[in-house]
Amino acid sequence: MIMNKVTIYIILFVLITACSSSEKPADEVYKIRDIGQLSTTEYTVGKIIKVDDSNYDLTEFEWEEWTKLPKLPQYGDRRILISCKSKVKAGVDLSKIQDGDIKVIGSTIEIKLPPAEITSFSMDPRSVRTQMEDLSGYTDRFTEEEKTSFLKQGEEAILEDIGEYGILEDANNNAEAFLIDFYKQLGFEKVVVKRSITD
Amino acid sequence: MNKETKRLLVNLFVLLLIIAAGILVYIFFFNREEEELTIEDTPIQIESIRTIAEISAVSFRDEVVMDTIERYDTDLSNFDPRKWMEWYEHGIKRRLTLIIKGEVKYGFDLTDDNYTIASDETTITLTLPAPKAIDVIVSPSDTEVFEEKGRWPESVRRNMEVRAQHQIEDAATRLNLEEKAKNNAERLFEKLIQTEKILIIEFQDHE
Repeated sequence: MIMNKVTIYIILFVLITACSSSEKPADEVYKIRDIGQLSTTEYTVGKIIKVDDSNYDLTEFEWEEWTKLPKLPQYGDRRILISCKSKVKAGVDLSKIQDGDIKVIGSTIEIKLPPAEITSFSMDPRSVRTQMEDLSGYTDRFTEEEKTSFLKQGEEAILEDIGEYGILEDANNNAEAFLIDFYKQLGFEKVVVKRSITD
Repeated sequence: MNKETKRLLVNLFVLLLIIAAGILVYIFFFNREEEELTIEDTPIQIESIRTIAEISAVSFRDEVVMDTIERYDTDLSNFDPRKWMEWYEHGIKRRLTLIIKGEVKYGFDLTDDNYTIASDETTITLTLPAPKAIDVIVSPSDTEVFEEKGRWPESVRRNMEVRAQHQIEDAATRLNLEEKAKNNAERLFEKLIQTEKILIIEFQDHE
């Protein structure tokens, strides 16, 4: 009988503890695509990513709100500062030029450019540095997953803010200058570059 | 039903009650969907602005899995009850697995008038520089932390990302995308240069 009990407890233990699942990472995939982008401006942008995870004050704790809390209250604060650098390029997509967008009349050429756009965004992993991580109380350190999420938000913020610094306007001006120079070298006396309205 | 069996059933019932209570406590107190922490609004600093003229002709996207494992020094072939936790974790002490997607753009750097145009009465000859990898792009939005066990120094993650970047670039090199970039550039410039003359597009050799 004792053996039976032991067997049952062992089976229960194994059943309870052995349930773990692991997904297989996605297999390698690649994709080749034809593009025709002319990048004309490159901005190097720095940003300090700041996160303060100490917004819950235990002294203001109320039991009625317990079930509504987004997470368990922890005693302590977590703060982090991450610095990063990104390279943002902007230009025009020449593959969007349609047949009717280029008109040649004698020694004059008229070209209608598609609107300027961000052509590439990259954040060099070597430029990412945790400058400060402050923990107190019973808080956990920031996980790599959390840090990735902060960097993603930082990337979105950079792309959102950079428009205010006139990157697309610069890209348009530089694209125009490049094409005027290019067509003049081809022998055209007059080059008219028309811009599309930026999306 | 004898006394021993009854006792066993009662014990099992109590055990199941304890497990059920534990599950309920977990669901109520701990199984909360945590809100994603949001970063504060801080300004960006423009460190430099450069005028460039880069034509990207081919884009290659790839995905690599970078895995770093640290194992216990335990021989798992002989089960040692004192080290059951190491056995349970298959000898893995720490693990960090990242899935990183990246993009390599091949094209031509025409910055500083790095091309020549020669024309005579019948022919236009455009000489472009040799194609090269213009951009090797890895960004946080294309990085996924697939598994994270234990704490890792920042340098480990950084090295994994840099190695991933190199792997993606090497994969692009193996696919001979330079030829494809040349073909696409020819098509692109044939569209841009509308002329009745014969258009010849040449490419410089690698230095």
